[in-house]
Amino acid sequence: MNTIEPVTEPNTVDTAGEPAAPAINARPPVLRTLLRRELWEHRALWIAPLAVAGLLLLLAIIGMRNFNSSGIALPEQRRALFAVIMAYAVVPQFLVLGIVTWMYAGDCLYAERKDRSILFWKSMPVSDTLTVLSKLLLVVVLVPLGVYVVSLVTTLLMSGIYLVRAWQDHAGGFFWDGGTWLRIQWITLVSVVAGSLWYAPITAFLMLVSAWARRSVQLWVFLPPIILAVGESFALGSHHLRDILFYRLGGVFTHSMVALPPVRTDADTRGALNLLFANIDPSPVFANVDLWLGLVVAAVLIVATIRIRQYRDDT
Amino acid sequence: MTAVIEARGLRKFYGSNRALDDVTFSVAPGRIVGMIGANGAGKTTALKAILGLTSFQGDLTVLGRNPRTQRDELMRDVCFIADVAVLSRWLKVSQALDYVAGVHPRFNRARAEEFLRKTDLKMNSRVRELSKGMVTQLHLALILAIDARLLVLDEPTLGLDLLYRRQFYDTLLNDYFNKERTILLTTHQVEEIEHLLTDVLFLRQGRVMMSLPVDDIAQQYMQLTVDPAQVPRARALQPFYEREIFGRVAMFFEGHRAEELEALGDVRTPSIADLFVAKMQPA
Repeated sequence: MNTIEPVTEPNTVDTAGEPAAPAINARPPVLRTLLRRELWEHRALWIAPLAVAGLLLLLAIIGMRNFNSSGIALPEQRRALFAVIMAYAVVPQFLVLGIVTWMYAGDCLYAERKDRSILFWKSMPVSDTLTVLSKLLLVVVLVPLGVYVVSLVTTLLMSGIYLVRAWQDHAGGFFWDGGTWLRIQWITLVSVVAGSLWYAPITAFLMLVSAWARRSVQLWVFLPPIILAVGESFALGSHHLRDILFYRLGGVFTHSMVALPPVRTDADTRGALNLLFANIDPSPVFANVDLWLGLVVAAVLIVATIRIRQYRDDT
Repeated sequence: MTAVIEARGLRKFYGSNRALDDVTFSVAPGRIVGMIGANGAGKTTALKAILGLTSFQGDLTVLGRNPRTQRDELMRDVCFIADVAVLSRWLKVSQALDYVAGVHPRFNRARAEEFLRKTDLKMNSRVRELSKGMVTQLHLALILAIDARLLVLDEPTLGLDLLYRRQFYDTLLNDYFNKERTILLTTHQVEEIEHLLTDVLFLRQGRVMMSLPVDDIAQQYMQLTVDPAQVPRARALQPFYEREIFGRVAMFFEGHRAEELEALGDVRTPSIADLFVAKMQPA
């Protein structure tokens, strides 16, 4: 029988010391392929943030032409206000980030069972551990950072568009306060990282249900906690579980955000936006012990998810 | 040579349903083994156990590894096609190639592309746009380009038309199989694969009914076709199964010599399909 086998002969030079070692072709790390695979399947992860960016830029081009900042006399306050508006115009991108990562975490280990393709993925030499960790890395680290970069580029482009339009209109004053802008970007980045880590146990729980549920993932995500919380209040009259859930869902900043400097709202100081942002330090958020306890819970849930995926087939 | 698959006392119960009930068999290298059984006989469960896709009781070694705990290592040497439609619908042909090339150390991309050139598949087609036959061609192209030692096929041609089925098995035999490779497959279309099997393994209700090399069938089993007048004499020799064919009666015997039977009618070696039916429905 004709069995010509080009190319894949074992490289005897590299493996001279270990004759039993399998032939390894030169190829990118397996993890990179697994991450690409996720982005092929779950295109909303990158299409949705880019679509929102496109929409924001379109609004910048055709929308309101200048800002009514006549109430603020000082040019440095007007510049700071502009920087704040530009930075927070991209907040919709972080709402979209929350939605797409929630949907992804709930679907990433369920879709492969629903369409039975798990039989194909499992016929490849990829461990369940690496599979689950690649999905976790994507949803907790890479997608949030990616959306942050998109928001950064979006806010820069939007600022540029507005500056050009202000210049065309001969609007007074140069609308740019680099210091405040950088400061806000720093706070945003820390918020994205801290928020992603804060919500990691919820993400891990979604992945666990995604690997476990035979159908209706989102129902299994919501029902058990609700039933348990209601049950607790009926049986014991207490609300510990409800409080824990609300605390976690409320976000890391509701409880551990740095103390804001006192902001007075009288006319003299209400424009002190530049000073306000200069005084915010977001880094103490990482000193919140609940953030790290949440990560421990997430780790336990992920280990359980890996175990479940090991025992899962297309049924 | 050590066996490719060594299974001893495999058990798997789904409630009271016995998918595998004390299944013991071994597969030597370079064999093409057909695992044949009715629906629910435990074929798919057995294959899933071999591939590390399901839990079970008993001892099972595949290429010297435990499929339950070493699935990812095992899959370097084992390829698997389940009843075709298991490629994700969103997957593009080019992505399928990129993926396997990215995760499988023994994948030869050039070989897969060469195979695909002979088909109508386009690199940017998505699986959802392909017919079932074309999806099978894609899966086959991926698998044939992997230098594996064991290929497991579970109803690989289910739902395909005759042309695709013929092409599938021809490709498998001509381009893939060699002395270092072992194939284990299940199918309902026994007639189509009879000529390529070297071994058969009959399963019924989770138990191994029969397991032997195809070459031994001729020595152990005879099909005797007799006229009605000869039926009583033939029956006295205790066939284990009989059926009527066009007014004559075909009787199946085990362990008789041809000379004993030739006086009564036409003797031949039963086909695997006939033998399967005879074994599954004892008279």
